[in-house]
Amino acid sequence: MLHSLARLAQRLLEVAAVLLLLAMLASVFLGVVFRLANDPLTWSDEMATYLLVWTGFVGWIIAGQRGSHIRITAIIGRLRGTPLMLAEVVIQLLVLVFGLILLTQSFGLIQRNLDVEWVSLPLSVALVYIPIPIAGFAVVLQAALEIVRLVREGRLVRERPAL
Amino acid sequence: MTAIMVQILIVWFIALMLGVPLFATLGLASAAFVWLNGMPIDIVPQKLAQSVNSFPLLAAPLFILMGAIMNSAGITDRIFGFATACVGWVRGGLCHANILASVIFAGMSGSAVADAGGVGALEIQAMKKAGYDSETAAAITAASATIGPIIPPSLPMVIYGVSADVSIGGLFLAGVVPGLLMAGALSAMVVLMARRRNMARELFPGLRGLWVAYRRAHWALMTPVILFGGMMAGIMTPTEAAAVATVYALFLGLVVYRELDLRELPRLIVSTVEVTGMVLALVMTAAALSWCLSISRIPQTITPIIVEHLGNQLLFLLAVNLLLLFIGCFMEALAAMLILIPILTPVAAQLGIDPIHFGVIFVLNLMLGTITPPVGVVLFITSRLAGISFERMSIAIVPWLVPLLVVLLLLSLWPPLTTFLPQLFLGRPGF
Repeated sequence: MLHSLARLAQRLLEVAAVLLLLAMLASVFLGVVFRLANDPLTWSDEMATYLLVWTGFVGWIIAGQRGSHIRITAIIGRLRGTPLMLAEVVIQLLVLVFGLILLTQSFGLIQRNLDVEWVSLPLSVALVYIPIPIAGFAVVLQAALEIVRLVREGRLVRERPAL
Repeated sequence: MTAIMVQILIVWFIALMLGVPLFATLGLASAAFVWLNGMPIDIVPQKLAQSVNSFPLLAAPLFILMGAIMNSAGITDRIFGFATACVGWVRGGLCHANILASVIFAGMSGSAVADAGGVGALEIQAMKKAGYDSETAAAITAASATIGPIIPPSLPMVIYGVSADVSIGGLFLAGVVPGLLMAGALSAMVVLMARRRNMARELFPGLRGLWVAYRRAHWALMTPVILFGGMMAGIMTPTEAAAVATVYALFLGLVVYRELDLRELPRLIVSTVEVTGMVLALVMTAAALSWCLSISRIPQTITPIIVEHLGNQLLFLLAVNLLLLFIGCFMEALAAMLILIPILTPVAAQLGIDPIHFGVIFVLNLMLGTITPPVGVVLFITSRLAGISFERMSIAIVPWLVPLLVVLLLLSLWPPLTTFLPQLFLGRPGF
């Protein structure tokens, strides 16, 4: 059940990534084409930057899933066994706290900007802040799952007889 | 506020060194600063979203996508074939071809990693087949890959331009001469080594062979023409040129060469979005911390001290070179860039250093960091491609660092090497 939910979430993210990036590319490209044809679009630049914000946050979540966020592992890479597990748990707790800040602290921003419209289209400026709590939720979830995994595997490491 | 920030930065640095992901350390440090100073915490998410709500920054994912498409559409193969036909027949020919292919590919892609992993994979294979030892093949590939982000388009320059508020078009133009100088310096090194090591040479394909190789690569070679032409003629901004060139690359791969499988496109796009997310997570959180830094007045406190002690441009630039080369050995280029921009650029401005000149030197230093051990992402890639250990790779790269460092020194000593082209095309210095 949990496994298939995770796969569904991953699939959704990938579809969102493809649609967002293609829409962004199309928006900038059409902007150039129409301007060169002396009939400039008013909305293309603004649309593209909003799509960039969404793409950024979707990519943030995908990078989290695939473990590709940048970190310095020179020191922690020397640890083994339980100390490594404990250090990783503390690190994931810190990530989780940051995720919680993103998740809980952006609703005010969204609310305040709901009625504000874009310059070019009758859409809400709040759209720029809506992906933040979503990304926050994903960061919290990823960190929590990682902690559960670490604690489980940490026990295994401790139970293994010393060679 | 300054005292609070200093304490936060100390904790931040420890957390960073202990392996907390960089985006989390930057984000938590900004949240702590805002909270301890009694400001509403929602300033942090606001700064995150606002920092990427930027049209120039759009060029970043577009250039990443373009590089990915180029590497999958059979374009790299054609470029290397053309480069080999051009210069492969002199002694150490495939080394020269390697450099030339990197220069051409640099005009289409903006990252050293894309260069090393794309055209680099091909080059190492071809060189090993022609009898070069794995170390030489991998080292020249790694060294020439650093040209990628110096000759426009350039991903690090887009990020630098957005973060330091410098014209990206200006930085792009400023990178052309330094990139060509790097290629020239590396080629000079090949000439020196080729005699001593009695390197192999390919057969001259004849003018006809040269023409055939050019015809095969013609449409691919038009990519930089579209990019530069559009930007230099003032018809397109760098972001728009990136979009047009990406659409062109898609057209080449899907329609002209038909080597890009449409079913493969989603995978390319998802990995582009992944890299974009990794980059933008840093850009966002670094922007939040950089805002906190400016509120805390730390740059305003440090700048006069540095100016007092390193009171002239040249001394400061040399110090910055040493600092960045050192940090580049241990830290990923983008991370180092985002952390150091808010601290170093105000000093450079105070000393009257042209922001474009400073930007190119900044980026070049950090790109050299990608080929210096122990943390050198390009070295990791080329050692894996060539099937040699990271230790052997680290030794093999040393002689090739020399010509690149000479170019860095030249650029530091003589600013017109970078500032001439932007001034010629964009007029005003620095913008």
